[in-house]
Amino acid sequence: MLQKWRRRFYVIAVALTMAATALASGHKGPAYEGPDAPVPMLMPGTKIPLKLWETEQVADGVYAFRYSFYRTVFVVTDEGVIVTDPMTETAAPILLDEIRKITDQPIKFLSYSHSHKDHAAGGEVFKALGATIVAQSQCAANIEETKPEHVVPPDITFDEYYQIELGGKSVESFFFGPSHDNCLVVQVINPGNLLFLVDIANPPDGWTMFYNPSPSEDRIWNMENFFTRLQNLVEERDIETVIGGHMSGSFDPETGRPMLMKGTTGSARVVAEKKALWMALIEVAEAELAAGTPPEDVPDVVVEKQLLADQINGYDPEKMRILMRRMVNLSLTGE
Amino acid sequence: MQRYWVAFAVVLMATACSKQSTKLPEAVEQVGEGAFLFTHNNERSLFLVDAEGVIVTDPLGTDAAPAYKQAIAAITDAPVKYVVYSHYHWDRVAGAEIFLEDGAQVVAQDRCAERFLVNPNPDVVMPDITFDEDYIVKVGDQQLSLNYFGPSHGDCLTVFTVEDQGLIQIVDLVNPPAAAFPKNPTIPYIRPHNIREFFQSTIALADERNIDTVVASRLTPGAADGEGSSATGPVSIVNEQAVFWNVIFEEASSVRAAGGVGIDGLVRLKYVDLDQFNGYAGYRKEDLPSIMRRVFSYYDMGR
Repeated sequence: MLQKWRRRFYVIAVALTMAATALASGHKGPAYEGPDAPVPMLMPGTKIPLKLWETEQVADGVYAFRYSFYRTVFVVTDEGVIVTDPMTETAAPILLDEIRKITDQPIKFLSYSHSHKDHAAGGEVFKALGATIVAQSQCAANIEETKPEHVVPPDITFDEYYQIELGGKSVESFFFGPSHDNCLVVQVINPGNLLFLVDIANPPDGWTMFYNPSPSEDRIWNMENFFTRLQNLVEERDIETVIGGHMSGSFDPETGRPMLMKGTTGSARVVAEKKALWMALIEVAEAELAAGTPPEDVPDVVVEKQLLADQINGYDPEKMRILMRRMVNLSLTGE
Repeated sequence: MQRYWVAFAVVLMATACSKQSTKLPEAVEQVGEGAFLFTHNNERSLFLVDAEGVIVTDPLGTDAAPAYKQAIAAITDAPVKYVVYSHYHWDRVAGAEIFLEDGAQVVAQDRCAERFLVNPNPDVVMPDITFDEDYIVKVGDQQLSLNYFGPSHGDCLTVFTVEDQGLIQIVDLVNPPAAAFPKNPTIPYIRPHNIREFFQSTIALADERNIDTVVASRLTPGAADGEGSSATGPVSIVNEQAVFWNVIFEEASSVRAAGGVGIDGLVRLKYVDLDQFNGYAGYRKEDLPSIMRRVFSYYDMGR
């Protein structure tokens, strides 16, 4: 029963991610005129009532803004506003409108989670209002290198840690080395002691099969180090709650119908779970290689043995083969 | 008595002139004047021999390196002066330790060195010499030019040229006898944001230096025991491989604009003009969705 529920959960999670990707990729469908505009159908035969965007207060002066399946956070203080990711050139003006419904305080800071343009684009509207943009230094190098459209270069860069403190509230950015992208930071937001995670782990579950099993923008060689440091942060700061950079899906336990997870926050246990998933994948491949299985045979052998099949929600043998190929490459090449 | 002296002198000269006239070891093929290719399993590494010393490129791992050193010793007594890394992947660069006994110095691009620091491997020797954009390794009359054109296959892949012999080697990206589909369709190492620019710069370099021959870095994928593999091929293969990537990006863009991508993020092959791909070595139409998926994520994320 649990496995069945897990598989269902996986299906909807995948569908949500797919739709998010489709939206971000230019398949924007009809022009959206307001928050109550219809959201694209997630799966054939499935319609989920969902506002295209919404703002939710998650702590004193801390708000989560969701646009489609992407999410960002902003902090309102008596001295100004701190925004994390502007998301996209489409979402950012709406985000600004939402902030203006809450406060007239000036937008003081924009703090990027990483350099990918599906989260970091759209900062022009905030920059025009005088916001100072903060990003990890490698993000600045990435933006300088590729000059993605609508991504405004940062004014302030940092290597390992940066704290924006304003009106007694704060956004702290921690860089633990390459993970998803080579400059992704995790952000601790106060009040609330909330951990904002983008693209690296999303509540409620860290043991979900990857939507894209060849995660090319994930630096697998540093995942253990990254998650160890992230776990240490969670423990040292006694963090209990995570805000995911994407929406999560599930099923209505009563009707079985696909539904979106209510609320915006989830348990910080997702950090330990996602680390465990990465480590298990790496260890399975390394164990097969150590046992003498030829590298090219490892994916088939792992699938035939059903390794991790019962642990990964939404297990898919084809995706497992691709993942194992990636893990074998990691062992052989270091990347 | 005089005849003995003449014979002795001939033997001395022959010895002094190196061992190049002797039969090459089985794992070695000559690709130019003093330029050789060492093969171990599927990997191949270029080395240049001069009476003053040897320039070795990738040592190819701890299993390969002793055999590599032995193969060089069968050709020349000259010491290995330099080991030059093509990029940072361990399957290419592990094993240089054995060449340090001769006093060899290790050369690598800056980003390779940075990667070794944060992702160390005990079998990978840290470089003694690093460079940013270009560097020349010279021993006697042999000269290996190193050029870096940004991320391509990994973040620090360096293009090798032996200009006076018209040779170029682009490890893991271009391989004779023909432009090919990537061996791994998930292309985890390709850097889509710069791969086309990398090829443009490489082609310009080859033109500028009158390069006419591309040197292999691996056996042809799928060739049993190397059968059908070529140590060298015409430089036109570089252009053909560049065209391959250009076509992939252009086709991915057009197919997406035409709505040919499913909600699973994968391209629907009926939207793809397959004819333009089926001439490439190792072509498998079922690999196209994986390859294009990476391009789509580049379009979405910008990297």
